[in-house]
Amino acid sequence: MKIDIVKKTRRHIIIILILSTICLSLISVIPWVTIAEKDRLKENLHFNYEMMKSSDNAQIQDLAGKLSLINILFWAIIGVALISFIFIIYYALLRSPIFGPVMMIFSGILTFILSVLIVYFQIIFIRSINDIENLSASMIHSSVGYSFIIFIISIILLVYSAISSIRISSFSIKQLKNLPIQKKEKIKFDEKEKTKKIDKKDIKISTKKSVSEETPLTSSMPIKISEMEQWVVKNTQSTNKKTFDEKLIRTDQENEKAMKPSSIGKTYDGEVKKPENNIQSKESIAKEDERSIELFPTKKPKDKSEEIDEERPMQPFEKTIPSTIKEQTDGSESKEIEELKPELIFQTEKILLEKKGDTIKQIFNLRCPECDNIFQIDKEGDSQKAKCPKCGKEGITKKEF
Amino acid sequence: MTNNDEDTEEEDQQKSDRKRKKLKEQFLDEAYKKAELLKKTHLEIKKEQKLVKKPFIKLGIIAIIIAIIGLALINYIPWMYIKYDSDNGTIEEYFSYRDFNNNDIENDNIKSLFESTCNNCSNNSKTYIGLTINDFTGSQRTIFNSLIVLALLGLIFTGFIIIDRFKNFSEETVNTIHSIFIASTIFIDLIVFLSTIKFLGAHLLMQLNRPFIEVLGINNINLFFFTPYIFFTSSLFLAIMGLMLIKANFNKAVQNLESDKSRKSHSIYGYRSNL
Repeated sequence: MKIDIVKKTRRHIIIILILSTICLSLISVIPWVTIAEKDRLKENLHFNYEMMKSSDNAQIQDLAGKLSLINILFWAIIGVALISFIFIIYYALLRSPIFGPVMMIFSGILTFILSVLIVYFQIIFIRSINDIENLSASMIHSSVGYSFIIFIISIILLVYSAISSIRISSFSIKQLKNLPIQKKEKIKFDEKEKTKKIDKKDIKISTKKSVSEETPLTSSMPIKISEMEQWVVKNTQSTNKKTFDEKLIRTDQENEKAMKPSSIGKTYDGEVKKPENNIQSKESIAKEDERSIELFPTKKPKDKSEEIDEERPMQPFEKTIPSTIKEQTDGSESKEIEELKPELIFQTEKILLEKKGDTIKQIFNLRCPECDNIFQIDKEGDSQKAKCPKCGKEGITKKEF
Repeated sequence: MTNNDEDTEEEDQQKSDRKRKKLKEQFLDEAYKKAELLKKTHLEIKKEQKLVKKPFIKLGIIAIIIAIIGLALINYIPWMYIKYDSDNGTIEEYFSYRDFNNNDIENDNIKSLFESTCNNCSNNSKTYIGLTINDFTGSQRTIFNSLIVLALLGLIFTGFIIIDRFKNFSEETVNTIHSIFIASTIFIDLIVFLSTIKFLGAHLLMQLNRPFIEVLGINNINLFFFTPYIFFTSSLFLAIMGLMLIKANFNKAVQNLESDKSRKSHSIYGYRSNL
């Protein structure tokens, strides 16, 4: 309703502007009066506004004065229309509850008064033409004068200004009356917004902390990981009740405890964690080796797939998958790892995920600590053994996959 | 332990291994999908932030350029072209505004078009086409002053936009000042338009009062006012453009009214050229 009225007033203002501009240009262009010359040439001499102003005839000059008043009034209407346009924009932008409606009422009423005055002075002008001898209105045809064009346009202008002023004033008065109610609503709305903002801020703070850790993906991953773990637990509960019943009914806190080194040795976790520790120690050794080798690392050309995957941090996968799955197994895999005991550890650089139909294939990019060669291994192999294609060294992958 | 028992144990182990594999795959798939989603949303947010840029409104600069072009046109384009048949033959002449300012019109026939030289004629009117020499000088002055005001307005507006670059005013204030600037340019355009329209009216009077003009010894008169027509059309065009711009501003404001956006803009702004 509010917007409709604002749009309609805009339309009315534009119409008023255009009509008054047309009237102003017509005042200068059209001939207003004719006088029958009798001195040298017996013809009708036509006068337009400019000619009337420069005429030596006092009666014509008097008429020119009235026309100039109409001219000024049209200018005033244009000014008021432009100002009211600004007021409406200002009102729509700032939604000022008092200033906007008051100014709109003022401009609407002023336009209406000005258009009434224009019509009134035009009637006076036409009457005064008829009162003067030897003077008549310039005619297009025998019955229709040029001045009627402007008169009709100014009547249309009056009607439009009346409609717009009534609409604006009624709407503005209503708004001013509803001002206390609106204020209350606004206060309520502001309070609601404040509470919403506070909630949003809390979320932002929590996410910001995680953002500061590493990457945008890892920021929200801790929350997601717990959800995923829960999802895995639920799935295993439903599928393998007999074997995993006791182990899967866990809370998140218990899972966290199990992850900590303090929980080693209490339950089955002891068997699982030990090889992890071994691997971790090997990782640290490998890292040290890498540091010693890569004192002055050189930039190598990258594949497109690598560049894409750089944006995608894969740590959460590597960290979470083994931890969650290990907890659900009997430790058979950890035994297998213990049995392998390879000399070299291939560090996982990236994990490429290829989607083939409904299945997602995983390709692991491994870095050889000996020759720094990066090579790929399919996930389907399911073996942690790996062989560098460049130097031929055998080893295991840094992380379980 | 029998062979059958061993076989069953092995089968169980195999089954559990398969389930474990399936679980792994499922888990990885889910994680991948979620990660993809998160990645996409993150990138989208980043893109949005990049796209929101505060436009550098060039209207002020355009107004200055128009004013300079207009001032050049006043000086270099002739104001009036006249061609008529007289007793001495066909006369064709061009006049600049300086000719009217300095009263350099030597031809009496042409002079009589703008001021009465006839002693026996009636005192009702000095001219028959509604134009006097004062109209030429006056309209030239009006156009000149209007163009200078337009240039000043353009300067002020450009200054405001530059200040806005450092102070970062709210969208509302920028829009309001933008619409004030447009409204004032429309007003100036209308002044120019209405000061030049009387030259168009002269053509109508020339046809209506032809017998009186012929008495002056000017037959088959053809008049063309170059500079006034150029300013008449360009000011009309600029006024219409201004109306369209103010309408666009208004639509923006209405959009603001429709949506419950906050009053102050919280977006991060860069700068780029835009009208």
